[in-house]
Amino acid sequence: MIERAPESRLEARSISIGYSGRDIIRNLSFSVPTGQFTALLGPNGSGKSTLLRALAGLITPASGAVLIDGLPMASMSRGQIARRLSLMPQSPRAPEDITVRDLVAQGRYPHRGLFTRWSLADDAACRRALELTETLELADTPLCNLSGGQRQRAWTAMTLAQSSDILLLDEPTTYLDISHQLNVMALLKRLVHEQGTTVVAVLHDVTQAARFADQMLLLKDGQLVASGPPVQVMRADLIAAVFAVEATIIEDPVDHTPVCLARR
Amino acid sequence: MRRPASDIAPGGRSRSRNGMCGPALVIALAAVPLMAVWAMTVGASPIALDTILAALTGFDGSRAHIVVLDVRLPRVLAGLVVGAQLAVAGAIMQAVTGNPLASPGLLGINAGAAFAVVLAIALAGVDATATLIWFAFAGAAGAAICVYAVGSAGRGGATPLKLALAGAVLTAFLASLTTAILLRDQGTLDSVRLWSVGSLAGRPLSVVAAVAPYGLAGLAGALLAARPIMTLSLGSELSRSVGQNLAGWRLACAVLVVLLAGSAVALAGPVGFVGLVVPHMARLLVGPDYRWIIAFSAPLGALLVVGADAALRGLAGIDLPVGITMAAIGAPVFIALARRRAWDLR
Amino acid sequence: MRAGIALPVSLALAMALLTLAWGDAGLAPADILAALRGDPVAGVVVGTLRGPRVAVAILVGACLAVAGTITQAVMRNPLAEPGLLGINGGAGLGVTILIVHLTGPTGHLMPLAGFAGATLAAAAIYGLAWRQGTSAIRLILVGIGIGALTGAAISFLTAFGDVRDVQRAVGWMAGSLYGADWTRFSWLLAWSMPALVATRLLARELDILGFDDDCIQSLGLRLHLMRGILILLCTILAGAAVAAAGPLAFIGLLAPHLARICGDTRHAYRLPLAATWGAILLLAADLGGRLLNLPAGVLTPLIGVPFIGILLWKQRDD
Repeated sequence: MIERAPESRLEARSISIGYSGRDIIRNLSFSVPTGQFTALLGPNGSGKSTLLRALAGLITPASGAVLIDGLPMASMSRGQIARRLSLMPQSPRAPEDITVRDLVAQGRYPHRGLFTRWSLADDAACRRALELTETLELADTPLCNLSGGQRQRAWTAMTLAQSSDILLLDEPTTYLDISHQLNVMALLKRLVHEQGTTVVAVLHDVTQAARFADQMLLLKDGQLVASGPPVQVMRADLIAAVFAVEATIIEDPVDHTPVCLARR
Repeated sequence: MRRPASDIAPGGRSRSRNGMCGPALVIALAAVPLMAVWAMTVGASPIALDTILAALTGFDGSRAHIVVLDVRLPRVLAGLVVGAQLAVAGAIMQAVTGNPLASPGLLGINAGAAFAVVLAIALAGVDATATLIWFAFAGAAGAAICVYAVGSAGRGGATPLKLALAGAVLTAFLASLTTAILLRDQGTLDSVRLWSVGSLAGRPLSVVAAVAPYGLAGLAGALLAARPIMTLSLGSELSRSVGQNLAGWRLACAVLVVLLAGSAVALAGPVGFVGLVVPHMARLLVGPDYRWIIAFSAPLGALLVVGADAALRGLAGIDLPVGITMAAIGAPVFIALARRRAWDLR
Repeated sequence: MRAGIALPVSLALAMALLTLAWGDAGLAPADILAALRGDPVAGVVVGTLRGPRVAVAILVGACLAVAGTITQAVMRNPLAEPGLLGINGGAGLGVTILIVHLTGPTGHLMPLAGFAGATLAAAAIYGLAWRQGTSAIRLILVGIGIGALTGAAISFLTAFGDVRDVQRAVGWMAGSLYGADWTRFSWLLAWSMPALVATRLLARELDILGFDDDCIQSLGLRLHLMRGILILLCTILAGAAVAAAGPLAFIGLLAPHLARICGDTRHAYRLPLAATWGAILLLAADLGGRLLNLPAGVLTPLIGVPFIGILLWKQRDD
């Protein structure tokens, strides 16, 4: 079932994770294809967020290991991990009076030592992050004055300023209206195709995932049910098995990507 | 955010429990006079049970009878009303604010009442309990308004955490004001030193009798209002959508809390943690239904205060002010609660 | 944004001069200058009486303000303060135990007992709040609980202790700058300076601690370790301040808010600003206390709480 991408910098090797006796992830292995957009999908409680946090090194698996560049994460310092990989949590929080510029500047934290001063490289990384997310004109606005969509973009900019090659996002489109959702997805796709970033995102909308992602992973009860490009994964029987719905898969008349019509 | 739902047991568990609530309440109520009579037997010199009963039914002027009627009876009666009042006040506050940490002690209401009483004694020379109690009511009401105003400022409104911190700020502030008054007024310091810790000792029957009517009125009001309070506990949206007069009932609850906590403080000083711990004990027994929690809080609070006070005197031979006893019992419970439920309290 | 510091600094200087000049023997600014040049009479008043008092006030105020800034960042709550969270309670308990249980001269041990009590209370809070890691909310709530416990223990000791002992303990617990001298200033400086410098070096970490736990960790910060270090620094600063001047509430709560009004959100700016405001507040409380013949510790809440009320009231629409 598991299709090995030609190269992978981030890899889960038969990891199991459980809280208080209940297994959330059971003996799961897969490698994140480098330079591609991978969407993580599954019903509520299937362990997607837990898997993402394990990939980010925030949870140490009870057994198995997460490897980054071939090294087990447990053996690395938080700083070493943070320079390779950045995570945007589901609903990130920061002090409300902080400006977008200061928020984004915090993304440079892993690149600075105790006595290192703010450098031109830091400046350039922040500016690039603000430009990519189109938040340059919001730079001096405090976080509390932003709309939901602007807030999401500001946080994305913060994660980008970290200048890591691997970007993990937990439900980046939740709570956004359709147009902002499409903006975020287009941004992620652009990052992958123009900057060569590796993106892993937990998503809810199967059709949207199929349109933007290069790879899809279907998760159920902590186990991998299917993985591969959207055309392979978007099958009525797989959708039925994972989400317990009757679905018809048709082709998008414009993009020619698979569209899922769920019925029951 | 209010999260009363986290307390509600799934399925019919709470319903099947309710069948046992009536008999359990009868047992709790029956235990109160038993505990009271036992509490009267312990003290500096043990007094036999039949002497107590004889003193209560037919006073014969003997030394033992005088001790029973003038020392032990007022102390036990004060313990009963203070315990019941503070516990019910805490239950109402927890229901209305949807806040498991709400209680007259933690949210500064006791401190407000105590400060007003000290102020009245020091500055106006008031010493009649019948007058002091009105100062206690005013102080309790003022503190409640301040804490709610400060605690509900900012994003997210009045979260349990913010209310608890606002209560701590106000308590520290009032404690410092009280210190300022007492440093300049040695006479008041002497007369309130024990009271300001929270104590049941040395209250004559006349003082208990002057305060009790307000407290009993508050208890009766709380029992009568138990059903609307239960509806309030389900959240403001639900309450409004079933047609409840939200502002009116909230105000009524505030008046009840001020009445209950204010008169308890006027009698025994600021006794903390009874209002926090007892409603949680009641919830463990009867589930999330506030009608039963309020009904159980009264006897349980009375039992806890009188029992702990008497047990320390009788079994350990230490005569601690009840405020200290309750803090020693209550603070660990509070810390355990904070450890278990921290994520709900944000 | 840097201009924001000019006002507090000049205010602090003015307060310091006023405190030096005002007293039973009033001094004109010229006298203070004379003292600095070596005039003997003015030299005694300024150099041995008021000088150390001003110096201790400034340093204690700064320590409390920085400790408060740390607490508010670590606990992520604008109402948190080391004094409210059991640290003052622990210090008070340490001193009360010392006074009530030890006979003989114990005056010189009081700061040590206060410091030990504060450290133990902070350790208890951190230990009890640990449950598969720390959380800001648990730290606050456990702190309130420990505060109540130490308060009850102090009440117990004072209710049964000898009246004269109790009065000494109550006097110390009011918090004041009485009897400040250069010796006290120098050991306070020795204790607090390393912690103040270390806190300033960790300004960026303090910035990031305002984020949620997942964010903090994915930025590469070792969250629980950093929280532990910062709480330790906070305990050193608050403990040193308590040891030097007794428990002074609300300076640690108010000074960070005043610093916040002045603008910049970054702790690199906020820390020195808060320290300056802390010094101003304590100088003002001490001056007011001398006017009213009350210890400064009674006045800090009287200044602090209405301020806090107004500040929070204004923020209520955010």
